[in-house]
Amino acid sequence: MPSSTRASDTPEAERARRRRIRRLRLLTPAAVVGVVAALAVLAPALTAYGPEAIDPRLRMALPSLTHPLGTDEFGRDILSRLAFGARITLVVSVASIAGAAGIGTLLGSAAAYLGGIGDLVVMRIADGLLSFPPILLAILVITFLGPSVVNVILVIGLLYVPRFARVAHAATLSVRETEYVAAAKAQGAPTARILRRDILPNIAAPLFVQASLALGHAILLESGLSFLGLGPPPPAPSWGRMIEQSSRFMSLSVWPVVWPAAVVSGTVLAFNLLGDALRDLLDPRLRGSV
Amino acid sequence: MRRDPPANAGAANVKRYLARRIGGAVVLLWVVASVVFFSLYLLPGDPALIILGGLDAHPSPEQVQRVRAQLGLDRPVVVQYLGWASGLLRGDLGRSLVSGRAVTTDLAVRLLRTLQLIVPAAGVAMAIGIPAGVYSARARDTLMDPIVSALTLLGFSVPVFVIGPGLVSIFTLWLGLLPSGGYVGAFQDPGGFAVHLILPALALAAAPAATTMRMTRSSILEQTSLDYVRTARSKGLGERQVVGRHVLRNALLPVLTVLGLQVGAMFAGSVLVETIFNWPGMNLFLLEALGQRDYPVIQAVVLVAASIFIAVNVLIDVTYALVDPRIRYA
Amino acid sequence: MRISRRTLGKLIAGTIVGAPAFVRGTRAAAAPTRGGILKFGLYRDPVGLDPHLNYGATSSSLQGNVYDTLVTYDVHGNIAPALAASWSQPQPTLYIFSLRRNVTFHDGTPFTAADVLYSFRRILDPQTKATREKEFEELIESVRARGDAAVEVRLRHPSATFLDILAGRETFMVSQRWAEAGGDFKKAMNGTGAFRLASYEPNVRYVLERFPKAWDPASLDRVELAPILDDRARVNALKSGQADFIEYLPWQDTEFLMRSRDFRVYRGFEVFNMIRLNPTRPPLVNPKVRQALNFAINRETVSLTAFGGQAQLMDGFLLRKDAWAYNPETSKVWTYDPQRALALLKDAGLQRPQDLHLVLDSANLTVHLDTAQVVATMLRSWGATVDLKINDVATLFQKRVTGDYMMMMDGLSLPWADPDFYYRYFHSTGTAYAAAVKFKNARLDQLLEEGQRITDRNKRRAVYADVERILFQEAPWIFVVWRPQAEAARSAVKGYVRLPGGLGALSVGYLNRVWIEK
Repeated sequence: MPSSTRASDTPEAERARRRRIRRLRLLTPAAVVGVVAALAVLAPALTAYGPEAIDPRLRMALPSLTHPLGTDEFGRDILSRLAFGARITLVVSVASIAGAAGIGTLLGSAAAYLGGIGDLVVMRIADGLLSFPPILLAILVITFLGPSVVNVILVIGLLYVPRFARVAHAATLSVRETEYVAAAKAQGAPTARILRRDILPNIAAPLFVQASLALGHAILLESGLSFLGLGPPPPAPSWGRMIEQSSRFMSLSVWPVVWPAAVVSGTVLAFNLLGDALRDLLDPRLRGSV
Repeated sequence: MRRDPPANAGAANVKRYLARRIGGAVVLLWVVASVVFFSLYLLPGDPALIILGGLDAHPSPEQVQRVRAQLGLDRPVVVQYLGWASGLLRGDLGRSLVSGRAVTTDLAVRLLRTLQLIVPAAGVAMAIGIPAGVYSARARDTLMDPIVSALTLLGFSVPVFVIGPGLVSIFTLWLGLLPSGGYVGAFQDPGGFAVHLILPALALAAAPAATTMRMTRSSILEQTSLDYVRTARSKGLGERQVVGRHVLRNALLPVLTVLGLQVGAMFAGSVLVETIFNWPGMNLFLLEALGQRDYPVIQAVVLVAASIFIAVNVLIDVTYALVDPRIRYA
Repeated sequence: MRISRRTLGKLIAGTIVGAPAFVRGTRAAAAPTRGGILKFGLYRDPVGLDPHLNYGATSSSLQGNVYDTLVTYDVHGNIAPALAASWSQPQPTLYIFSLRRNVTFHDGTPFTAADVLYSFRRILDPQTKATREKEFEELIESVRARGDAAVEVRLRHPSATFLDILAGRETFMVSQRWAEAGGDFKKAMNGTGAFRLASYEPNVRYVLERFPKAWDPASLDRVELAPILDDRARVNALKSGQADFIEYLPWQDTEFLMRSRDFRVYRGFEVFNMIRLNPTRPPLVNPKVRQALNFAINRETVSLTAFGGQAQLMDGFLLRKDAWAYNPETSKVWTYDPQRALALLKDAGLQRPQDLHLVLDSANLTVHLDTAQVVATMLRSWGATVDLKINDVATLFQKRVTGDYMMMMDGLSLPWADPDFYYRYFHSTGTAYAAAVKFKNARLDQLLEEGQRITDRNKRRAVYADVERILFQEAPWIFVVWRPQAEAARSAVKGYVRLPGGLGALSVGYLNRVWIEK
């Protein structure tokens, strides 16, 4: 497969072009994520209406000056609900993935570094959690604990801890035997410091890639749970629930479904693109294939 | 997401590895099932009330107590656990508290229905994903590349519960070509079955198709940069021969194993697809049983689902171990 | 006679205008066509096949069409003969039913008095777990056969609702011979109804075939009941022709279907949404607080927001305007009056709504949750703090029995049209509400017992007026709305009649009256 190099390109110009493309591929989705985050932060200031303010006279209204995205079946302002929903989505996905990444990395790398029984037990438990179809586990846990933002964060975090543990485990194994780690050990540095200073920075790259991909999945999982009625309970305007409730009214108006559907898809898309771009940037092994 | 296979893939090693994995899997299953069993008793809600009727039945406490006694629900938890466990060892999954029917029969039927959804969806995912991946690899750095990339990304970014109703809006409500949902037995009416299968299978296949496409593409690209391809090219073999004979064969291997992983992921999508399209498979069985607190059914479905998932994972690991332990994918 | 141009013009105009009515009128009088298959979209899978348990809606659509009761309802909601061709009541506590002759069960065996006795015995047997077990036990003293074709029932006390109980969907007549030969009521059905259960696949399809030897045979050849749990999927099935008839039409789609000539919507208001209040949990211990809550909500807003304006406001208790016991003085008492609510709070010793900390439980059903959300929002804007807790249906059932709630959203339908229904909710032993939360008003108990025993309508009207006066003082619930309950069908489906008042839910048990126009 010939690559489309132009005859006039010098290797430097070629590399510069590649760098520019790579930067664009990183910044565009980052910008989208930034917009969503801004939406979440600025939610209370966006419109005059709260996400729960009911206006029975203005149900299913089309976009207007007072309601830029129109209203839903209860007469609630859609833009406001999307913005507050962004809070839920971002809080749930970031909290669960960050928590899972933190705990999982700690467990996985410590297990790999220290080895022995601890390693065996930790990784077996990870296997156990991974052996379960994720959404079924989520459904079961939510049924037991009840639907709430905290429980959704808990369950998504629970699903991802073993995944991060595995990545950290494998990465730590490959770094464990390197010279500088051996040197640090020989100097008598405490384990915790070795983990923190020498091992962690070197396994950060695959973890970041995993994290940004996981964010996209977490959003899909949370909105899927919301769709099934198991997510953060109303009136919390979780995007998944917005889609589920408004799709009952599709024969009257599609807009209350289209807006949240577009926003969810767009956000997940952005995180996926971000993950791809990060992988290109941070993971030298995969550079070269696209 | 898999345990690394042993470096020395000799037959004896593989057998030992396999035995260890299966043994571990059985223990795992037991633990999972037991955890679920005990958690169910912490769940508020009483199956006796469901059995005694619907929203407008108002049973007296005596009636409720009587039903609980009949169902054996008033025995101590440990006794019930032992009863369940011993039944399990005999292969008896118990009887549904609500319908009174043997769980094994119902579960087999519903599992079959879910498989009738997942397997065709996996087929569609491959049928779309692999050719698309090949095309995309060849189209690299051309104009089509970002477009195809974008489509792929949409495939696994747009949630299933948006794709599903979207398909229904187009093909059922607007064009009137396909039914909006429901299930027809494959043996009673193969034509009807196929017609009812189309939309749900498409909805379920979207994300795996996209992932397959990406995997195929990156796998091909990785292969083509390897030495043996350069050698073949330098020998003067045509592009088609290089790709077709060597690259594709080697590239498809990881794709197939990833597809195995996709099947596991498709279980997640199938919950949503079954709900949206009213396909009475195993997932809906679990959701209904949860709502009705039908403990034997819940336990049985959890057990079976976990078994399948674990089995698929073990199968993948073994395939890896057998075929080429040198291939590693992050 | 010469016809002036004007007269001619009028004649022609009249014919043109009148022609459709004439044609329609002719069509309406046409006899039902025999044959056809009705594809019926159920809103959930029939939980069970037992004819003596009330499983809710499917007890009508399934058991109702396969089994028969001794007496039934006609299209106007009056008690009419069914398996009992006639009956007499020589004394207030004695009923003699004359059974219809030449009636056979689906398995070919004849229906006789022995089967009636067996059915009663089965209902009374604790093993059956019959829904009406308690009522029968409390009400019936003895049942005797008088030959093959008559049955004598002696009650312990006079009852205004005995015939209604017999006409309900939990007291079907079953075959003794079939049961004793090993027939399993949970797995099979053998009735005298217009349809027999030909085959079924749980969660997929239940096929009812016309029983030619029925005493009240159907026009349709077959009914295929298919559960379609998802609301949208059910409506889509109707729109796409996959279903000819669906129940539990979501109100969102009612407007659209009503406007379409291809479909017909049948709507009633027999189900009501209310919020159960627990009088043992502060701050609801003081009835004035409970009254205040009733005045603090705007039922109009609830109807508009949660039901698209299609609900009927519950400005009183459980007697509707068309009920014979309706009393405008006592049956219409609630309004949206925040001032009065504030005054009531002050009377109760609370300064402001901000002092109210309320917890509202609701099941995760749209028809409950939407209302609960709106009420919670309204109470919050009034000043109270409201925690909305969402549970699933199984938890709802459990909390009904344990009374473990402060406020709980619920939706119920009346068991029959007679005001005696107040008993099961508000008598201190009532299993439908009072017993679980220990609600007790001694005077109310007395009145309800009295209303059950006397038979003179005027006297009873006075009794129930007093009942409602006490209910106003006690305000055991927040009475919210009568919600719209609708079925929809293709226009070609004819003959379906929605029973009036509280009987609407039973309407799908009369599919033998339905026919499909070619």
